[in-house]
Amino acid sequence: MIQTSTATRPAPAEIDRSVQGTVLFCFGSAIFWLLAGCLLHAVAGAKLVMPGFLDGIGFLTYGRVLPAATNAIAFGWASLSAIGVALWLCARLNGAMLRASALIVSAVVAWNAAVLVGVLAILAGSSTGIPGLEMPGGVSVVLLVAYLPIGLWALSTFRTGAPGFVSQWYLVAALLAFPWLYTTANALLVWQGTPGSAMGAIFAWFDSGFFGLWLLPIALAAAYYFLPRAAGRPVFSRGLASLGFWTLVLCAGWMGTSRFQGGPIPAWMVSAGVVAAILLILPAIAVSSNLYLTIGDACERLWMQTPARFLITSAVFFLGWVSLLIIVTLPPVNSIIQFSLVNPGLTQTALHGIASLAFIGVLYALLGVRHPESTITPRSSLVFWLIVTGVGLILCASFFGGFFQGFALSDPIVTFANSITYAAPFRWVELAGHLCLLAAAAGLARDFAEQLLVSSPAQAPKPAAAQRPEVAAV
Amino acid sequence: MTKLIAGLVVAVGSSWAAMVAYPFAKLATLQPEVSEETGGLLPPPLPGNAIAGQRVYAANGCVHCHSQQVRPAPFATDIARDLGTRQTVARDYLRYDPAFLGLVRTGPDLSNVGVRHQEAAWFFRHLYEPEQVTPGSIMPSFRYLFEEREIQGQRSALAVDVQGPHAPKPGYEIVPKQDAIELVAYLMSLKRDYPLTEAPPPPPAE
Repeated sequence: MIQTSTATRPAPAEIDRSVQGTVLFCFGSAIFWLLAGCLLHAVAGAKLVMPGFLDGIGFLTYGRVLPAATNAIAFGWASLSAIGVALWLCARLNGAMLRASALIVSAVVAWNAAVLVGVLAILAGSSTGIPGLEMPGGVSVVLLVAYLPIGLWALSTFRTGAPGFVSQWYLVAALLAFPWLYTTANALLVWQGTPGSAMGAIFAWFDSGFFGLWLLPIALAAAYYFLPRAAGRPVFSRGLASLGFWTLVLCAGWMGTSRFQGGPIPAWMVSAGVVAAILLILPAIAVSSNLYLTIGDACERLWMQTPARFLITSAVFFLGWVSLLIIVTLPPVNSIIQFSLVNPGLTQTALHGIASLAFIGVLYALLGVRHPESTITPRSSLVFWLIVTGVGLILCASFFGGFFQGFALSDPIVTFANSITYAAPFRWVELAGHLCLLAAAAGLARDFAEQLLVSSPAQAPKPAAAQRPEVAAV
Repeated sequence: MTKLIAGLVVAVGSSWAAMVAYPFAKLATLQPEVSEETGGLLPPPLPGNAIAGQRVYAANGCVHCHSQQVRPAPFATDIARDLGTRQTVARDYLRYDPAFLGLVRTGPDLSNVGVRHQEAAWFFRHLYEPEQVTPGSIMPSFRYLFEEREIQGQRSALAVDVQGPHAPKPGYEIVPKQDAIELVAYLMSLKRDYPLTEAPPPPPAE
């Protein structure tokens, strides 16, 4: 790790100037992928309610459009914005200037090119068929190579000694977990195949880890960084923060196999997955209560600040998502809803309700550094409510529709066709949710472009937030 | 920092050992059984076309709608719903790479679709015009896996008996491309009706 002495620590404004171009480039390209992914997801949703819509065309068939959408969102939007958040927070927390921005920008360009090739390859019919890992093997090699300078630089900003800030723990965890997860999954499932049902367990480990050890920790790092600063108070309890962190990194890897209840993998693996999913309540309660107690009576004031509103809601979604996940993981419930709309709906809730909201909150904080604006603007408020409404519609539709569908799929005297009929109205609601997310992405893209055009770093006044001393718990 | 990284390696590494290394070492190396009845291998080897068909199944994202898992009773009602006569177990999948276990049933489970339907013609027509074969189906049409061509002499043995709005012009026929032939071979190979030590056949009905 690079030593960065306190005496030579640059001013926060200087740090921001060194990283903001790179981070804004990450976010700019991520927003393109959010738009593309939401559009593709809306097309896939429309195909489920109107099977004749764009039917019979190879590259637009449902089974290609859906994975193209999920990969664009996971690797284009979520991962690129997570990288942007990680770069900025590592620089801020560790007092590091980004001097190798050309290298990092080149890596982000390569990342974008790889995702573009990957998404087009899925549409063209070169999918691997492994959910979440559909992009061809060559694409994942480029993504890992592109990640190398990004991850190494971010980790190199950490000084020796125990990281003092809670956000730092989450950043280290995420930065190390991503290459571990992605290399393992590609080596065993994509670059060379693993025959048999082992694939299910390995895929489950990757899939739950991709959210729980990569995207979620970066979202929580952002919450632990920005919310105490905005409230002007240190993190309420370091002990609670530690409990939340360690239980999350333990449970996130183990919980994946809970989705294979009754499936062709050993029962102990499934049981371990169910226990881990239930134990996820510990980090959810620890994190949300810690943040709530940190904010305290400043909640109303923070609600009027764009980044804080996004981050608070993200933490609320975290608690809500875990609570629902536990309910649907309990075996008597799981046996009914296992193959229904419920699980895809919960995945969307986690992705957009937790990760997207948090990352967009950070983006507004960064735009705020260039263009200080403490109160929420009508445009950012619209983006916020469109995402919350979109996620809310998808969650309600998948939950209620999923239970109807699940009961139909479980009852031996109900035909399979009835399970389609029961789910149909809820699929329309789900489509409305995806259209809200698409509108939010369009609103965000417009807001982003306008704010970049109206302010330039040279004109931007000194950031108020950046001048304040670090107030997170040490 | 060292303690943090060591803690992470232990926390994440424990799940890696259990959920990645263990199944890779144990499940991926399962061997077929020798049938006491016939002396053949169980599960039986796949025909070449069926192996190739996995690529077509992957390319078209069939796994996003169809599971391939029969869960045991009394946990689930899969057997009562005739998705199979017994639960599917790890050994059932050792011929498949990847094994398309699936996570949703927007379409029906396909673990035993090769038992339920044994005519290739049914599969071809269902892929071409699903709504005509299964009224109410929301499955997309895979017309792009077929070609319309002029009938030269005799009608092709593989020509699809199309009855819906996408019927060929007079004098023409709809025939499956190689991808469709391989996909159907794969689907017809999906039969988990043989007995295994860990998944014996169900007791005969009284």
